[in-house]
Amino acid sequence: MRALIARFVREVIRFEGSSRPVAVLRILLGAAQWSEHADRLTPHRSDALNPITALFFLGSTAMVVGVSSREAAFFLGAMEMGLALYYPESLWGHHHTWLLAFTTFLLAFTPCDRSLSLDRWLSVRAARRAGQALPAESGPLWATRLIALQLVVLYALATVDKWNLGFLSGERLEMIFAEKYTGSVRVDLPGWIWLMRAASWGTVVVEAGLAIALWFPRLRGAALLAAISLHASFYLLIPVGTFSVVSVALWIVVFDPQIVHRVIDDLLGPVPPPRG
Amino acid sequence: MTLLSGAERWRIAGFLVGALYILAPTAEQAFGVSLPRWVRAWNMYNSVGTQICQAAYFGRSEAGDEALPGPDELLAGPPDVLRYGRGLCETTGHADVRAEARCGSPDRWRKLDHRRRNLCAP
Repeated sequence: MRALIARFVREVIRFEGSSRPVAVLRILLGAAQWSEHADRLTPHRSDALNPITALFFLGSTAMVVGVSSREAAFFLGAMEMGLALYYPESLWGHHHTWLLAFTTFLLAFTPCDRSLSLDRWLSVRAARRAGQALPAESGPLWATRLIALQLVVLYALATVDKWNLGFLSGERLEMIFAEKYTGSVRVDLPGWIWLMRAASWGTVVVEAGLAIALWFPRLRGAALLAAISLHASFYLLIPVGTFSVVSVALWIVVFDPQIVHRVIDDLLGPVPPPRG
Repeated sequence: MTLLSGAERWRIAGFLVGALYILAPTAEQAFGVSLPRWVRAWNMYNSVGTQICQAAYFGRSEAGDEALPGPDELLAGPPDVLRYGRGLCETTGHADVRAEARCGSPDRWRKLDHRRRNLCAP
């Protein structure tokens, strides 16, 4: 038990590393916020400007640009979670908007402001002027363990939710396809229900596999490819809003932050010499 | 294990609260325990396709059953199945129109017993 607690403290509570993965996630979630909510909150669509609209645009913009990002994520995520819980039947109450709100809130407890942000650029300039060392791009990452746990629970409970005769028989998927594509005339293609059945089982197996693979670092690379395929097919076939892009974006915190940092380093070349 | 700092104690508290909240829906979805509404279950997109009906229509006569044109629009529930069938009575001139229909549900297709019912009958 003592060893387990020591491991928990070492790998979760004292887990520190590069702030770049959470900074990338901050930008992606900020953009996803715009994609999900901005259009219906613009003044020309809503009746009046209100504190929700103001906080939404200020918070999401601050997240993308990187100004007081953690405070922005805290207030924006908390507001959206409150709206989802208070008005569960509204557009705020959808599952994918809840995932976006909750993970935005969790980002507030990460050093997501220390990389790829306007705040970072200003502090680097100030340090250079003062002849000091550049501020570190790192910090405590315990909250990313919660984001990873959220991904595991999401896939595991999505599997549990589909583990019933209606879904596994292919009939639920057939209904979804009827509503979105084939309409109210029954599909007469030979093997149609078997195709639906295979796709249903495939979805359940992949989701269950992802919930397991997330625990094993060696499996995560292949699991990410499977997750991208799964979420891409969801996005293309049924109206899932920002669910697919948010779910895939969250995967960035599953990987070793030092490796993600190095990959970003590798992507950035030196400043080219001036022409002429 | 070295002693925990004040910040680390706060992190433990935050992690435990967050983890409990994330794991809470498991009690409802895996074990059937009902939870307060501030715990969100992950039963996503469960309502998609539950309203749709599919139907094949037949005009019945002494010569046998004749397949009638199916609907172009979506039949969103049993009343739509009846309404479209009654419309066929007028547009095709058949006095006896029947349907083989099924409607979506959160579980399996629900069959409607319209094969034995003349939809043109008042």
